[in-house]
Amino acid sequence: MPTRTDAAPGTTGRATATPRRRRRAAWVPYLPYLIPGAVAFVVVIGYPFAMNVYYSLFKWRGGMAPLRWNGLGNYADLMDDAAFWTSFQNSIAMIVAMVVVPTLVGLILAAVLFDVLGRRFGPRVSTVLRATYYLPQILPVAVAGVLWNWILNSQTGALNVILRGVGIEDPPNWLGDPSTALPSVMLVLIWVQIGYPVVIFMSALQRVDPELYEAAELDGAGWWRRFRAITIPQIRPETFVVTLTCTVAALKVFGPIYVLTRGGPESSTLVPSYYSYLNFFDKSKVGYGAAVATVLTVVIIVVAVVILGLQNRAERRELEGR
Amino acid sequence: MTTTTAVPAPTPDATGTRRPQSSRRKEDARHKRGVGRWIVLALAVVVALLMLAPFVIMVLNAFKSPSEYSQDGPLSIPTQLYLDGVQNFWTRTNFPQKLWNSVFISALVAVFGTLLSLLNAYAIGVGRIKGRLWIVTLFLVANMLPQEALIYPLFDMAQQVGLSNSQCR
Repeated sequence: MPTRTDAAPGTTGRATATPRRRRRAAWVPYLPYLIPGAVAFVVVIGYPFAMNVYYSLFKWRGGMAPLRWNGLGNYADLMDDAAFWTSFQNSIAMIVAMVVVPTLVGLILAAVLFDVLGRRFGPRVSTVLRATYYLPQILPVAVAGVLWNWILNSQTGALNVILRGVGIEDPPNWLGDPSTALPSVMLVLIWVQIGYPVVIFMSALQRVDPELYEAAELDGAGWWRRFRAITIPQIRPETFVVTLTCTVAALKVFGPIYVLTRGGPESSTLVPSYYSYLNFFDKSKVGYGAAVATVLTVVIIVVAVVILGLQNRAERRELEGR
Repeated sequence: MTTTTAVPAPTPDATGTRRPQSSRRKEDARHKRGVGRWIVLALAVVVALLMLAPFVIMVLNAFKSPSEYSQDGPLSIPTQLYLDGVQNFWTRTNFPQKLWNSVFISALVAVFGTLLSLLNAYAIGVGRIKGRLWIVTLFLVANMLPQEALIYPLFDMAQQVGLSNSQCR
């Protein structure tokens, strides 16, 4: 703060001009601090992103091959591309597996851990259980993928060994069959994802005023009523954060698909990010891949803006309600 | 409990603190008698075991010899501690170098990431630069970008400056 006055030493005498000049001079000296960040941003994000949009207007096989102007042709082709639509359909499945199920299950698990087990069996029980649920989150995605690939293997996988043990003669080829691949991937993602909402919601529950629960208990509200009337509205901000971050992550998901199925079999687990990667490095259709990536970016930003808008509206309504 | 009700005109403070306690105690007693809490605990433990199962299977087989694996499958408990698999992996993939790469990259990211954030945060938070909301929004959007929207130009740039496929030492 003292720098503000230091920055404009000559102007202190004139009363009328002082405030404006002082205010301007106050933040200008800080601008150089933004330079390293701005340079890094331009080199790593701004310029590559602009180039990606630029490439999406061309037909290009990459490398030394010539760029051939295609206008919006790549985008027009996308509209007729069944694989492109499949990939976005699968994005919805990814949202179910990474946002909807983990948030709902995480909410219940967190409430049960905090409310029932933490209170009746002591904090150590709930802490150990919470750590167990969180364990898959610290596992690198490549390790998780390889591990599950091997568990779900049709011949030697642990799951099918168990299934054969209980008498199922012909257990499915989980990741190899188009009808079971997507549900299997979703299952793995749920397993990976569930710990995150549990941890966030448990810390949120610690913030909630216990007097609310005591008052509700006095009024004879059961556990479910208290959960619905107090827990859910009180931790709404955290729910929005979890929903936003997980939805963006679900739309961007690449690693688990890459290690588990590579989009197959028969495109049954194809997602937009993997489809664009496939076009870039496998099919050498760089312009087309860039178009997929650009569309994905627009979709992510639109979805994020919608979620943030909903959050703002919910907050405003809550303020008006009081 | 009876003394609380016997007090003719309890102050708001007294009722506020004592009543919930007594009701809590009552509920605690009810829950301690009932089997409900044990069922909840059992369910939570079952979920925890399901989360742990893949790890258990992984560890179980990391120390199992190939012949034992092909004979007894992935679920059997190894009869002897087989360390050759881990040792082979460690030397064959030159794992120490991989580990060092990870350490090196994380250290660089930690140091330079913090430094950049520090400088930006100083300008935005302390300097209160005009248009700071837009700068923060820009960073947020940058965080949401899919890597695929950057990867090909970055790949191309790395090739052009000769960083690609070269051991930069």
